[in-house]
Amino acid sequence: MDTPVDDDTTLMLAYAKGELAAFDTLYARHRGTLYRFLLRSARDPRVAEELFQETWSRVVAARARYTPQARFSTWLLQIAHNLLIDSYRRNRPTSHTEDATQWLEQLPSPEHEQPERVLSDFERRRRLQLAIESLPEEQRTAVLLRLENDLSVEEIAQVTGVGRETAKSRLRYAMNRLREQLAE
Amino acid sequence: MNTHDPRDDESLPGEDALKALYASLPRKEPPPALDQAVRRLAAAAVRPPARRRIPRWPVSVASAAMLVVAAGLGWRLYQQPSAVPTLPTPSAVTVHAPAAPTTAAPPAAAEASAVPAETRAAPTITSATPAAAGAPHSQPSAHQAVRSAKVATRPSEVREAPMRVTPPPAPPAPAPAVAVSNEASAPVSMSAPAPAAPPAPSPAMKAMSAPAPMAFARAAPPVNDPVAFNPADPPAQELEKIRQLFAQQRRDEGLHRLADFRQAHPDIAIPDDLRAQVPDHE
Repeated sequence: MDTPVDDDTTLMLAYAKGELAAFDTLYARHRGTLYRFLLRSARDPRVAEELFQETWSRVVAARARYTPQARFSTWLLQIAHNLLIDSYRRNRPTSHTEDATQWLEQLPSPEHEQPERVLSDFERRRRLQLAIESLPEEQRTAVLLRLENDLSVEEIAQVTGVGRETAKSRLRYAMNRLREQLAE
Repeated sequence: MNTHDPRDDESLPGEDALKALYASLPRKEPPPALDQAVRRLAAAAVRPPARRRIPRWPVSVASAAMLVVAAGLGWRLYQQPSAVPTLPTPSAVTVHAPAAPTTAAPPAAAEASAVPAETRAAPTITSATPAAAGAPHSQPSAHQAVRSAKVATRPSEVREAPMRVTPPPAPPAPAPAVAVSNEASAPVSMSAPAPAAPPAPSPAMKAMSAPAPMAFARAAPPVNDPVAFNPADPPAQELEKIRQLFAQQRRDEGLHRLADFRQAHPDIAIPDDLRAQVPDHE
């Protein structure tokens, strides 16, 4: 198996040797995508923040054992996904659709949009958000890894610990359901 | 082995439109307090140089102090009468084997001859040692004992004045109730401590020599335990061992090993059957 050594990997190895600046760069690159992945997966900002901090904590703790067997982002998301699964077990059932709607309504919308278009786009975003929320956990994880983190099917399979065909199947189902709900 | 299917990276039907819509969702960022917390965590993990930079001078000072103490102890032991552990051996030779050759015999030979001698000479008074030691008229000062011990070790004088070598290094404990006051007990009191003279390992010596194998035994995993932790095991094998621990009803050990595994391999998904063993509150 190839061991891809990307820039992130180099930074992680540098941090493992004690370079804090390398971690800062790494963190700045991945904080947003990781946070949004956790926020939209956990559907609870408080839980998302806990998992976010715990994920980085695991990264820090495992720095000495880190070996570049995959992209750093894949490794990071594997850790986050494992923590998410634990969180699902602890907190089931999680937040309801109504909570998600309220959370979505509190989000600010871009200012430059025309009123009628704002309404239309807001409605589409709200539908997309609700559609993602309503997906089964595995499908939601797969589609978020694709849309938010831009992972390939193989990487999604790696992160979620399933075969490639399973990951691809989940992704297809998820996409179809999202499109159906947006078309309604 | 690379079975990557290039079609996997192709967009799924409608994916581009979904991506565009998803990109229009508000891009929430972690709050600054969370950023601070993570950065503090990362910094603390690589900061320990504070501990690593402990100056080395205390080690040097401690070593020098140890040397001084050891030298002082050695000097004190050399000066004190109690530092004559070989006293009984030559005295026993002197008292009970007057016909012994006058040349200095090796200590081992002297001991070998002393034991039967004292057995013959005083078979019934072995318990009199403390009494004799405590008898006022037969117990010179410790300094005298040292002097007489030194004298007794000279072969030429051993023949002439064997009886002057009376008191052995007696314990400082008070004399017991059994009083033995005649001079005849003196040789017995000399020879009685002899058995204590052989270099039987002291408790301190045992303590120094014993821990090595014991510590090794503790550190080494049980040889016959097929599910014992082995750092060389690949993750899948360690998970299988943890699974066997649960199957053997060794739940606490299994949970402990599982927690260690998760710490060591945060990126590896725990199989559902093992995940189910973890209590929900953890």
